Formats: sequence, C-alpha cells, structure tokens
Amino acid sequence: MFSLFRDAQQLENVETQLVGMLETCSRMFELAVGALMRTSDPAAVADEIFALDKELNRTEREIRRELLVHGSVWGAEVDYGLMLAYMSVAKDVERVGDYCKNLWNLADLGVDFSAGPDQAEIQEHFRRVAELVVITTEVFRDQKESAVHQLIPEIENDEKHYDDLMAEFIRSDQPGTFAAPRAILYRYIKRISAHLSNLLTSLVMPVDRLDFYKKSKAIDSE
Amino acid sequence: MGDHRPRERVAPESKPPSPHFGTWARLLLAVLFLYVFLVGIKALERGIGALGAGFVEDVFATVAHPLAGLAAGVLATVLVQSSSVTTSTIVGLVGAGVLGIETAVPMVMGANIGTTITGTLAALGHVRQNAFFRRAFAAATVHDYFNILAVIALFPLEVLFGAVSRIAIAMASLFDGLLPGVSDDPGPVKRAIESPVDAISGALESLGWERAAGSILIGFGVALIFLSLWQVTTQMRWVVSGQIEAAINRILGKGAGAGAMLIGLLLTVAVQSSSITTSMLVPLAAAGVLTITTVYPVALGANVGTTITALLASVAADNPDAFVVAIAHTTFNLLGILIFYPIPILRRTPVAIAEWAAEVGARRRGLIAVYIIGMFFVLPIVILFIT
Repeated sequence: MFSLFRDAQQLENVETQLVGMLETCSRMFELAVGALMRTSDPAAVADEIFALDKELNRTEREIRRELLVHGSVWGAEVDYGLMLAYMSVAKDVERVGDYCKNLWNLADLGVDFSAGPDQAEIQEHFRRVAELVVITTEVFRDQKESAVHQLIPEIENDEKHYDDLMAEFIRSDQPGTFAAPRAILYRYIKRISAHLSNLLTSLVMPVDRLDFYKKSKAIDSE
Repeated sequence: MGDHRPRERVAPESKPPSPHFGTWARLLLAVLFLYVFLVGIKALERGIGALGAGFVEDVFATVAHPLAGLAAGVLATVLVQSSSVTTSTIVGLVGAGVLGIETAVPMVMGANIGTTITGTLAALGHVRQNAFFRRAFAAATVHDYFNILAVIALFPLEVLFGAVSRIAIAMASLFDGLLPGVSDDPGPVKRAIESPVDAISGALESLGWERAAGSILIGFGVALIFLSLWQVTTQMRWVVSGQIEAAINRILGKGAGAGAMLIGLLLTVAVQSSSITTSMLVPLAAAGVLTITTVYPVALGANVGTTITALLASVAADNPDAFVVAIAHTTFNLLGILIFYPIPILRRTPVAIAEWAAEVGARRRGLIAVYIIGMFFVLPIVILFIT
C-alpha cells in the first residue's frame, strides 16, 4: 500500500527517464553511423531520427517539470543537490542526442565515410563512441562510482585524440570536401564524449564541480 | 542539502530497507493527533460552558452583526494562518452555544477569505523577477478573488434569506441519528473524546479551581486544536507527499478541469490544509510550469477539501447546530463553485481580476502591500469597529 506514498520521493522516475534518454541516444548514434557509412539510406532513417530527437527534448522538459514539482512538494526535505545534478544530466544527454542528429545531418548533406581511405579508422571511432554510450548508460543506471574513475580519464584521452584529429584536418591541404566533414565529425564525437563524461561526474563529484572532474576532489576520495 | 552534493548513491542490490515503518508510524501519529484535536474541541466547548451565560452574551454581542462575523472570520484566520483552526473553533463555539448558526456562517465565509493570505504571501517570495512574480501572484490571488466573489454573491443571500444555512440544515437532517455529534446516544467515539476532558475538569475541581476552570479549559482546548492540526498536517504531508507529487504531475499532464478540482479536494482532505495545497502550486506557477487556469480549479477543490476539518470537529460537539455549521462551510464552497465555475464568463472573472492585479502589482510593488494590509487587516478591523 505504501509504495503508493513514499517511493515518488526517491526520484526513481527521473532516473528511469534519464536511462531511457541514454538508450535513445544509443539508437540515434546507431542510425547516424549507419547513414554516414551508407549501410542505410540517410533519407530512410530521417523520420526515426527526428522522432527520437523530439522524444529526447520532450523527456528533458518532463524531467525539468518533475524536478520542479518535487522541489515544491518536498520543500525543506528536498535533496536539492540531486535535483540540480539531474537537471544538468538531462541537459548533457539531450546534447548527446543533438550531436547524433548533427552527425546524421552530415550524411544527409552527402557526406559518405564508407569509401574513404580512413574508412576503417573512422569505423573504429564510431565503434568506440557507441560502446561508450552503452557503458555510460550502465554505469549511470547501476551507479558504479568506481567505474567512473576509470572511465572519465579514458574519455579525456579520447577527447584529446579527437581534438588532435580535428586540428589536423583543419590545417590539412586536402580538398575541403574531404577535410571539412572529418574535422566536423571529430568535433562532434568529441562533444558526445565530453557530454557523456560530464554526466558521469554527477555520480562522483560535488554539485559545484559537476562537469569538472578531478579525482582528488571527488566525493568518495575525501 | 547544505553541502550541495548529490545524495549518497547506493547500488540497487544494497538499497536501504523500505520506509514503510516510518510511514505507518506517522499515519498512526496523525490519527492520534486527530483524536487530540477532537479532545481540544470538547475542552473548548466545556470551558465556554463553564464560563457561564454572561461570557456567552458578551461574545455573541461582539459578532452579532453578520458583517462583524464575516470580518472576525477573516481576521482570526489571517492571524492564525489557518482556516481549519478558525472553522473548528467556530464549530466548538457553536457546540458550546456561544454562536448560533446565523452568526457562525458569516464567520466561516470570512475564514474562507482569510485563508487565502498564505498563498498570496508565498507569491511574494518571487518578487525578484517580474515575469516570475506576475505568474506567482496571479496564481495565488485567483484563490483570493474567487473567495471574495463567492462571499459577495452568497453573503447577502445568507443574511436576507439564510440561503446557505437552510441548505445546510436540510443536508444535516439527512444525518440525523447517524453521527456522534448529531445523535442522542454519545457512543464510544464521543465517550473517548469526553473522558480526558472529564478527567481534567475533575482534577481542576478537586484542586478547588472551579472559577478558573473555564478559562483553563478554553486555553487548553485552543492549544490542543493548534498543536493537533499542525501535527496532523505535518504527519499527513509526509505520508502523502509522494501522492501529492504524482497528482501534480498528473495535473501537468492533463491540465485544468474537474480532475484538477478533484485532486485539490483529495490532497487537502489528506493534509487537512488548503493553504498547503495552494501554496505548493505557487512556485510551480511562478516557474511557468502550471498556468493560472490549472491552479484555479485545484484551489476550488482545496476550498471544499478544507471543510473536512470543521466536519470532523463537529463530531466532538454536543449541539447539532455545530454539525449544521460544518455542513454550511461545505455548502458555501460548493455553491461558490456552482455559481462561478460552469458559466464561462463568471469562471473567467477571478482569473481576469488576478491577472490584472498581478500586472499592476508587478509594475507598482507598493500596491501589493496596500492590497494585503488593506484587504486582510484594515478592512476587517474597520468593519468590526463600525458594526
């Protein structure tokens, strides 16, 4: 009977929605990669990717409303830190979805990475990011704090690598039709990785240090 | 959360034990304090009885004029910030024979106006940002204007024809012999309420404090009413907060209408305070998540829901008129809804006034203070003086 009463306080619904948003991102990334590698026609997946993007935006708005209601109802008992953290996480996940849609936009503009000399390398980056989205979802869902300390430094290395690749293509003498899509691609996957890293900080960092990971400042290292 | 950190997270397999025990304990406490509340009403009634006819005549003379009763109802509720305390005290006074139905009903109407000050004050918390304040103030004061308009419509009808009282008497007659308050046989509930009051009266007499017994019992009764209602509200709010949260999320999904009204009613019955229900909505309205048209029916539902307290209080009273007054409180609020809600132009009137007032208030903040002080303090005091 009392599951009707107290459980809503646990913000479980918001947690479930955030995990659902991450799963949506995973699907959007898969669709975008399929379009960029021409395993699917970009036009054929357009409706699905736009629908998923709308769903992400709608869920983000829902989460904001639910958090606000939670704060109004519980007053002084509210875990404001957690509410602010979830607000930030919802924004990060929504941004991941946006970058997935932007990747699909590249394919829709005619970019095709399936035929280039760097096809295998790009495919490997895609595999890595797809894996990262899945792992992040699991770590967030199961609140695996120790995994965060392992994962974030790895993501930071990835980001640095993507930055280097982006800079390389921006400075390259190769034709714009070859270099520009790759520079943009690495920028986008760097941002996806960064937002995943940011949302992971909500598991281990104090709220004022969300998005600013430093192991020595983490809650569990104090 | 002072340190602004995410709450301590726990792995799903090591979740803390279910909090059901705490919930049951608080529910039990709420029931216990409900009993204490009824004992308070009985003590108040007994204390007034002990003070004798002179005291009764004095009190009656003060609020004999219906306008004075109305003003006293506003002022008392503003001062104690709870219409539940005022209306249950009125019921206790009727039970003791201090007030008649015709005097008590205007007071109950006044309590309906007085209770809206809590939401209006809550809106002041959003004064920093104009857009937020406009929305918050409009959402809070739509309750004020609805209740004021309901009084404007029904108060003259009550004074001239006893419109609300007659309906209440007819409705109360349906319960003849069914409820402890209106039955000749005290029954176990009433005996349980009377026993502690009898014990205290007996103790005061044995101490030789017969003369002071009336005043002591009144003070004791009022204190118990305050304490118990505060505790019932606190415990029940804790118990049903999850439900409240889910209900508000449902309102957000479905919008305004009868459903929102029903939610307002049920939430208020659960927490025994319309102020809690309406004040909770103000920050949501300020943030723009709830619109004034959604808050409005919830507030009307809360108006009806809050009448449960007076109905409960009447259980402790000996005089059947106490039950009639409690029913009159419900009747007044239902009639207000029936007059103003079904007809679109009337339904929109409190909303239009509230939006206009919020617009003016956002531009000229000083007028807000004039409104609050004038409406809730100066006007009732002036009316009391004149009458």
